[in-house]
Amino acid sequence: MRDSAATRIIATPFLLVNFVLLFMVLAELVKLVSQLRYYSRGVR
Amino acid sequence: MSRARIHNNIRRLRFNASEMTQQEAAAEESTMKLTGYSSMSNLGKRTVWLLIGTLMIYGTYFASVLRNAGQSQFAGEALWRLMWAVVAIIGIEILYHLAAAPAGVQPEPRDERDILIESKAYRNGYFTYGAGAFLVISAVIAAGLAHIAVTPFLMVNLVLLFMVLAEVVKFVTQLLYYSRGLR
Repeated sequence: MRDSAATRIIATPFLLVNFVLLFMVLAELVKLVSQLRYYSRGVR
Repeated sequence: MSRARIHNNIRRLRFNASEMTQQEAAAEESTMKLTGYSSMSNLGKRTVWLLIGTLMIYGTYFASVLRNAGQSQFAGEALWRLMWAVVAIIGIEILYHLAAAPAGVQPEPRDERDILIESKAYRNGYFTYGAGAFLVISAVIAAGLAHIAVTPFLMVNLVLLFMVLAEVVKFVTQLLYYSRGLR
């Protein structure tokens, strides 16, 4: 009973939306850092 | 003017000058299609097979899963279907590599053109996935404001759908650049 209640709390759409948003921001950061790295050391 | 349009104009001129019969024109067109695949680099051929595999496997997956979109959690059959789809994609990649050597497809190093095409394909895939994630987030917020329940099962599958769409866009971009060249 406690387990099922916990599952319902963990998988809320609010949390999932924020996770998707977090990874979108992370992807953008990785893109920017990659650009900076390639600009500084050249394309190899 | 694009290369295809120039080619078509030349064909039309030759056809008008009665140098080429209709049968010859049809034969040349089918040869062009065949040589299109055979003249591809190994990466291009790999892209074709992965695109077909992705469309078949995830097409089947989404057709079956979105019919039961009302369920709330990943459990039982839905979970197995997802695991099967992921394993099948990895299996196709392994099968391609196993079948490539006996079929005479030798591994060749990637040149600058391959890398550039891959970069452009990833860029388009990234745009697709970003747009999809933004759409999912907007839809969930709108559904929340309208007091419509969005199940985690539906959300996860929508995110997965846009991941697969991004992959398909990546493959199609690669094929497009391999067929028409970098411009």
